[in-house]
Amino acid sequence: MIWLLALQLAAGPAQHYESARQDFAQRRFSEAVDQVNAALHESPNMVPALVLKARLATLAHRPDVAKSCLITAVAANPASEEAQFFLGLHYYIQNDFKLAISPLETAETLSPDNPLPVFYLAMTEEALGNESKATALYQRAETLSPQKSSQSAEILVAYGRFLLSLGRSQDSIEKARQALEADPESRDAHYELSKGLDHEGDFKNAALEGERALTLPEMGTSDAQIHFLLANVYRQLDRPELAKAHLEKFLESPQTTRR
Amino acid sequence: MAIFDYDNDGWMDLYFVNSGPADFFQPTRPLRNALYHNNRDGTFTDVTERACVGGRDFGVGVAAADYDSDGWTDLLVTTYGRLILYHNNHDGTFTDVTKAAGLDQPGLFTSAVWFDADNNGLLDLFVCHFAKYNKALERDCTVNGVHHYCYPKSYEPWPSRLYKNNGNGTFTDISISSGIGLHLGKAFGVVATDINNDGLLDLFVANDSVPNFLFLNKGGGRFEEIGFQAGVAYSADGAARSGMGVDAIDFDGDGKQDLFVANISRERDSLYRNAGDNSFVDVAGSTGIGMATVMETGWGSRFADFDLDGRPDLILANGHPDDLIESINNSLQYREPLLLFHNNGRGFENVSAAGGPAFEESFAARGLAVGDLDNDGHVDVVVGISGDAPLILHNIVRNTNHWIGLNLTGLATGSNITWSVNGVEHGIFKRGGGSYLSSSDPRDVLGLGTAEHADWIKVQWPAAVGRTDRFEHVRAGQYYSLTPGGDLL
Repeated sequence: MIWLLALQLAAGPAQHYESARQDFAQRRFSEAVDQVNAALHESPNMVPALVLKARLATLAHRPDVAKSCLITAVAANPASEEAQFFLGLHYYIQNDFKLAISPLETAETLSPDNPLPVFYLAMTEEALGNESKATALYQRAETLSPQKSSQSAEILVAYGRFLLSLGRSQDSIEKARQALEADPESRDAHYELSKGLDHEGDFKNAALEGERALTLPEMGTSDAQIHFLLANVYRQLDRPELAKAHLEKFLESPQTTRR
Repeated sequence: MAIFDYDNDGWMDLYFVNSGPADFFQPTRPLRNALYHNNRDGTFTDVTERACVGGRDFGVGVAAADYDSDGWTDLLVTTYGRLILYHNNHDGTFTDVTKAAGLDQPGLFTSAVWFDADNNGLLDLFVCHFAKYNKALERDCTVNGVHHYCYPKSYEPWPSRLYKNNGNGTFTDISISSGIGLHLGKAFGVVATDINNDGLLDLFVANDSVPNFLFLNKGGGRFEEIGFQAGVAYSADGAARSGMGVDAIDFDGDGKQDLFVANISRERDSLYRNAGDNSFVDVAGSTGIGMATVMETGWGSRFADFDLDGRPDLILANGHPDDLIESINNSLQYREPLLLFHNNGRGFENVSAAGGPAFEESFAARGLAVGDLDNDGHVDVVVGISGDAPLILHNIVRNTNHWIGLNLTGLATGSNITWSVNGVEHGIFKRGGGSYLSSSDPRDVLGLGTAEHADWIKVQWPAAVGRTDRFEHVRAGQYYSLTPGGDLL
């Protein structure tokens, strides 16, 4: 054990952090935790390591640890765009929307060309019910996001979902179609497009998009959500057998509530 | 709370339900329900003891109606533990007739509605039942070592009840035979309305954390639950929301009754536009209700024409259920502001900021009822506050708009009132129940805009009455009483 500690000390915090970063990228989370802890043991205020530890803690469902790391990181270097962004993201994920705004705005100021702080600010303002602010921020996030990337698809999907929640189904459909141009394999985009088409009464194409979404890997949108949508769409299409099948699958799934 | 006229003096009195002692709760000082007599000068007198309606249970809600058609309004009080039916003795007192009426059953009852389920001319009774709960089933909902309010997901759902009025002061539990009792829910709010204009009153029930119910009245005392098919059971993404208060109104003047549900924070309230064919579309987003309610937890909810322009506006009582929510979330508050929406004919505009000082404060608001407390034709509002004194909001909207008040006597729930002003037709369907744990003024105020008379007023009475009365050139500025086939008095 002593020789291992000696080896770690010899490696230096920067090297430990680099190892942790690589482990994290390769989803070797346990190893990443060891390495990031070694880095922070030697350099407790090393901001990138604190941020990485916070991200690992979030994955391990330890929001208390994540929050502590990020607050330390921001205190150590308020000019760290990464620390500010992840602190804002942490508050957003914890539904502490009012607290999310300040660090996200700081991150946006520090890195004005980065779409992610703007994107999360948009979702935060949406969660707070600030329609006009959210609309402007989504628009800006869309403008900033790189063309035809999975990131831009994600932004467009969220923007479209927001527009649909305002009853703007045509605009929502447009965003979902743009998202699919950026990422044709986006399950979320196919699902949101299906919802928009359903709202517009285009049930045939809504069914096609919903069925397509079901074939894609389950990341954000759940199978249950799609079955629920398809049960309604097939009922509208007067296809009771398909509606029943999807309804049964929906009801078999764990019921979700926001609470 | 209830706004009703217990002594038939033409002035609305107030009844408040309090949470008295129970096996899981001992108040620090004695608590009872309270009946206040309207002194006609802006003040009220507590007449509870004389009226014998103190209750002293862990009271939850109230529904006022003349269930025995004797011309005097009775009270049904819901509690944790039992129902209490107070029969009005016509002399300022009431008698607890629960046992004799056959309503002496245990449960955790919330909202209730009196309505004619089978069109036989008698008021039947639907009572929301919340989750299966008693002290022995209580869960420990501790967060970070602090005992919090338990979310309803901790408890099993339970069926609500439907009681048939036998016409002799007794009731028969027809929950199972009607189909109502076959559905397990966690019911908080109920409104009786006619979603398909077939002359049969349907029931919309808000459930907390499980899908809402829409019980379609099939006639003969039978109901079919069509919440999923109708599009009112779940959110657009298939999530059951936490429904609390409800209401029903034709907000867009298309002749079809729309539905409203107040949900918990982050779920937005729902405004379901009736699309016909027993289906609904949630238009909370496009009408402005959605974003305005995303951070609030709604309870009492009532449409009323506060500015007398002929269109129903909306008022909401809000407050988070967890009194310790601020210790675990910085974006939510236990006390929340009231919300007031003006129906501008295209949607709902949040006009809370112009609503007066009460709308600048925050409350743990729960029940809400509307009624004209001073008979000036302007609909006032009473809000029940958890752990605090109620609010009485006096409507001081001053514009040049005029009004006609209608007091339909006898079996009125299910009536369709239409009126014309300068050739433009308006309508109110007289729903039963609505809001949350509360009972509103049974009279209707018809907004005329700037007109000083209605071209005509038509009252289509419920199917059991089976007649329509029509009156020409009705002058504004007063209340009229009407019995079927009678004159406006």
